[in-house]
Amino acid sequence: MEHQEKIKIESPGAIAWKRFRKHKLAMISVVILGIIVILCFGAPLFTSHDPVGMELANMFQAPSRIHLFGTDDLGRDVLTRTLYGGRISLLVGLSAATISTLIGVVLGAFAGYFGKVSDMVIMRLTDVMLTFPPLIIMLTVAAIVRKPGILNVILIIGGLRWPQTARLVRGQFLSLRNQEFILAANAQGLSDSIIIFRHCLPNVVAPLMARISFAVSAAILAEAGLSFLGIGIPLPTPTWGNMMQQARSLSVLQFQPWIWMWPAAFTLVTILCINFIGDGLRDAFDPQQMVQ
Amino acid sequence: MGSYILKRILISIPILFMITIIIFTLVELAPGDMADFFITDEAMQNMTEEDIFKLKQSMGLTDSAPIRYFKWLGRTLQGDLGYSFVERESVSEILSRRAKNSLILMGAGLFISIVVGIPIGIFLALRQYSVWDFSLTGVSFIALSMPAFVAGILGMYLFAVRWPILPAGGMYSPMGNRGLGDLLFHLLLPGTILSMMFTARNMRYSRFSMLEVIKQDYIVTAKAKGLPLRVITYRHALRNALIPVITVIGLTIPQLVVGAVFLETIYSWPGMGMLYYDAVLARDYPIVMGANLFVAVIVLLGNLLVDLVYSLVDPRIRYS
Repeated sequence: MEHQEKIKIESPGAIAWKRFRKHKLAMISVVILGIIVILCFGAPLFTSHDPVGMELANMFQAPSRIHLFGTDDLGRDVLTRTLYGGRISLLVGLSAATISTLIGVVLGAFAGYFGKVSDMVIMRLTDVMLTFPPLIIMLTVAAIVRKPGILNVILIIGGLRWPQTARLVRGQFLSLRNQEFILAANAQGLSDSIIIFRHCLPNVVAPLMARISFAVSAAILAEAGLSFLGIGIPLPTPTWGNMMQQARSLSVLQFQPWIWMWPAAFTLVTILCINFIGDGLRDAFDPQQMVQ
Repeated sequence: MGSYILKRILISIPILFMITIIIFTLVELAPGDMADFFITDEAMQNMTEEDIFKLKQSMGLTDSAPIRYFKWLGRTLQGDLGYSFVERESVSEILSRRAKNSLILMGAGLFISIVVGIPIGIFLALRQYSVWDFSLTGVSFIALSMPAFVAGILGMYLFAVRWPILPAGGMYSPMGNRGLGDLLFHLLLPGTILSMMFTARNMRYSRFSMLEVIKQDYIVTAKAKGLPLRVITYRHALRNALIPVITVIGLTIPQLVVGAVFLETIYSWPGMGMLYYDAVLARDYPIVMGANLFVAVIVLLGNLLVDLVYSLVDPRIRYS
């Protein structure tokens, strides 16, 4: 007897995608986040105002048909600034998260795979970094660098937010190191770099996925926080954080809520979406950890 | 137990030591040195190179970096953190005055997050999938994703500006009697907002942990014995459910500090966060160094405390 139907073998990625699709909130978040990304990066298509140029005749105008979200203290269109600001905020978040993930993976893999002294040194460094609340050390470094700017903010956030990723990757590598397939690879005399990149790293991708999405939301928050305090990306370049900075003036807070409410809403919705997607990814790749 | 505490404290010492090195190096990397702060442009015109050198020598700035580090470390260990550039007062005095205010705010945040978050979490676990469960879990997601400064502005707009029922800032009313009632009245808004994220997290974890525990065999046994549900819930399940929550509470301490920086600057609460922020802007390095060190010590002490509480409440944990 011959089996006519082929048994369908699903790749782990396909299984994860199937599970992810069932996570309704995560799927809705993907859609909303997609809309935000399109709005921000396609900003010139949706608004014809200049995000930076001042029009002092139009300052502090309430939302109207010409200025859907109103105008700010220098007569700039708030909708335009919110969208262009979103570009910077999202870009900073993504690039800083990429840097911190790379540093974290390299250090974590090194510590977990080689162990001994390198593990000791890297993990003590991680402990020390985790003792500083992240924003505190970022503020100190930002004050010392003295040259605020997009690149510096990315480097500061990316360079300081790696410890959690390093811990996670190290833990994974530690448990992988003693599994049979790694022992076999070792016995075959494969080089360390091949074992690390071809055999260990692919097994770390799943638990890393959720961590990366939380790293992105943390980086967006860090940029917004630094810019809100006036130490991140300087004006006139708009970012969600430095637009919200205007709410620190009591009269803007009270009489022109449209100036700060929109960037605040965009930040909150973006963070919420990324966190939901992170939850979805965690459940999809690692059902054992699922929080009911 | 005694040896465990001792060991735990000993582990913290090298970490603290590395922290002092990092703090010193960071300030060392900063352009300019302490002498620049005293040599204004005006003074510059009346000073020769020799005068500047003498001034630097009197401040110990001509020594090499490692020597200056150990001198600084020595003074720090004796409780001498130097003098603030801006306020012309000893850093330790400023810190202890400001830290008191911050601890009030952070303590309030922590307190609210525990007394509100945990009971709600337990309540929801006992009513899984109810309307309460869905709506409060949803709210907790929003609270967890809400950055402290967004919550701070929004809270101020809603409760101090739009409907001015609470004060918009400060610790006491300008004309007030500086009594406890006045303080609590000013504390209510920033304290509640600071606690929001942690309340939501405590709620989620205690709910999850409680759901895990009531599935355990010993709870089934207790039910089979015919014990009243109240006794099972509060005597058997609750105690065990709270153990993992302690770890989560321990993790909140560094985040509490970050939240306090934002809320203190928004609500002009004269604490460490605002002091630190002003010092960073003014590049008042002695304060920056002192505050960093202070925060690190608080976090380490917090971690230590959590570990100790953990070993007290869970006798199953044995430390070798």
